[in-house]
Amino acid sequence: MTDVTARDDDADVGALEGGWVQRRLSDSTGRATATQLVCRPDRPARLQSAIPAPEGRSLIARGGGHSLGDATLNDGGAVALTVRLDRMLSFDGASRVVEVEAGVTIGDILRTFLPRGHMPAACPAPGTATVGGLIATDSHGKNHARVGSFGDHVAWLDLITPRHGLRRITQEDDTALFGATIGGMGLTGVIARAAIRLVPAASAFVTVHHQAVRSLETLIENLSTAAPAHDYAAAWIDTLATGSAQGRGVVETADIASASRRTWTPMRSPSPPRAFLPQRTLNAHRFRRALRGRHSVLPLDRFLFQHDSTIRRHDDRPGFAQLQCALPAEGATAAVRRLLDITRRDGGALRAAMHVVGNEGRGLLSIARPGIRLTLDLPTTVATPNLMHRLERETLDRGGRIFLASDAHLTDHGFAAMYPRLADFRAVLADVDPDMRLQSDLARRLRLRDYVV
Amino acid sequence: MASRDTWLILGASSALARAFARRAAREGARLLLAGRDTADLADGAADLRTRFAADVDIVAFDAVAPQTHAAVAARLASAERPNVLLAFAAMPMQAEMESKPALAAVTLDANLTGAATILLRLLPVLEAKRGARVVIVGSVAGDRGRPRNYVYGASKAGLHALASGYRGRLHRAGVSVSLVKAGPFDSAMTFTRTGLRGVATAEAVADDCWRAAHRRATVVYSPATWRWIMMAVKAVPEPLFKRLDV
Repeated sequence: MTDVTARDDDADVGALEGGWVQRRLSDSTGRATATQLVCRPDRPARLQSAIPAPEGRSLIARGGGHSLGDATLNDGGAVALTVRLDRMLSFDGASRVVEVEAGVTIGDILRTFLPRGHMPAACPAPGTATVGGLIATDSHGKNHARVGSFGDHVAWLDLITPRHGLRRITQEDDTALFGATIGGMGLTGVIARAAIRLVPAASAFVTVHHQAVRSLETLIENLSTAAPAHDYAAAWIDTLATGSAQGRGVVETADIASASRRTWTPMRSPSPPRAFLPQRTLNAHRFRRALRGRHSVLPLDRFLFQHDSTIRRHDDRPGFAQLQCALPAEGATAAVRRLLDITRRDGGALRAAMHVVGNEGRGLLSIARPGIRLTLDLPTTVATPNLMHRLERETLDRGGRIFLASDAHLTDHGFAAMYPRLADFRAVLADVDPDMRLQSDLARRLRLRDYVV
Repeated sequence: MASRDTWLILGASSALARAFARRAAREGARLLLAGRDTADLADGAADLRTRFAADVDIVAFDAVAPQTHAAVAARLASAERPNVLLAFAAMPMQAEMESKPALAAVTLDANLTGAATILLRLLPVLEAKRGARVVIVGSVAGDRGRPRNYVYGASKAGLHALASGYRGRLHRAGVSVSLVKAGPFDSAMTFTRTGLRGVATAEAVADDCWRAAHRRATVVYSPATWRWIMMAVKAVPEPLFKRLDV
């Protein structure tokens, strides 16, 4: 009749063809912002038509938008939001493989399948992180030593690359492209669908144990022995403790309960952060409570996504940066101590947490490497470029790697030194994206390719 | 509502319809998804099956192609307890319609003519089974024409009148017709519109539709505050209203 494209559904005969609109987006800390064309496709066909982006712009996909840096920003370019691609397409009970669109969240998968006795092996927080984003960052949770990263459980991917369009790729048939896409920060293509292998869940509850430890050495030692022995293990460091208490912390271990008489109901909202007391008091309380060991039983989703509200709180409090790095097992204690010392001189970290990383990640740019993963939350007043640069140097000297998804300060040469498989990654990009149609602020900052800026 | 309920969703690809279908499937209803993009409907059906093990079927339906309507009615006739959600709409930019008046015809065709044809086609099906529920998604734009979107508003005003008459026509047959006048909510339709922040989610409007059906409500606003806003908007005398930029 005429050129109306969508009638019965959602007509978006907007200013630009294809549902594009000029919009400002920010990272999840509210520090970095960028103006770009944004679209939010709600079906795969519309996602496909987003590539190539209009006006010859470059494109990057954005899932839950939880990256703490500029990974999903594309100033002057285009961004495709995948959150409305939120459908689960099939589940095979025998192989436990669930096929989902890229915008399905990890919390959604957990809540849908937990009552049926299945769960994703790796459940990185927050619960609103999307499958596409978790694959692109190859994130992991508190159980890396046991199950590896999220990317290790991907059976196949439907990837839209600028050169080949929509294609289903697997580890076996497309080793290089698959390896580049896992942890590839969305630069090999836009993930449309993925098949994730789930694992059996004996119950929907975990028994959690907290044990306070007085020194950093023991903390890391206890964490390292606990990680292979328990389903989940993490350590928290009291960064505000002074004097002889410095380096004290709590080791948290958790195991999925074999059976529970309690009935599980989905978590409605994350527990609100207790913000009315000084952080130093809260930290001391947290430490003392775990002095004699503390047991509790928690619903699995609450346990896994308990810090979601903290993340949300940081959302509306601009000024919070993170150093997340993987450090080799040997010398990990010295490295962590050194990194903490460097930040302490400049004002100190808000929070510090450690996990054990089991094996090398599958992706060419996966952060995972055997050792310790350290997460430092730094207030912006502390996280000056100067400090971040010193932390980067220290991490590099200790043989560590900085996590791209939470990074906003890494330099290109530091990045190149930390990721030895970068050359392979670049070779894949040159193949699937010869015209550099996929870019992000992060990719340009790290000079992942010879962009003409 | 009992599990033998079947919900026919007209325009099943929209965010609102998707949320409504999930709600209905969670409550154990069977679903019949109707729309033009059958590939997308198949994905939607797969989603409902995977999440809720729901009994879902799809049927091709185009509001402006009346030849597709008979098949939809026939499919619904085989349902034990039929229910209908009418959720399709077209909303081109007003400025665009002013430069291309043919677009206005398309809008009215889809939103009003299409709605009338399919509802009349479904009339005997609903009349035959007592207790059916019909939910029609209207719009606050239909309460009063504003320069910003008066063609869309006119189509929705027509739909409101249609819903009112349809309700009376089916009342004796024990069929409830609920009109949900939705304010702007976060859908693909409004995503490209700038200056629409903090609007309701599609899930919230879908929940209101579900509750309206459940209570057999006649006219509800969604979110509910729009009742008071529109009361005020409607009370403004026309000589003053024409001077307002709302």
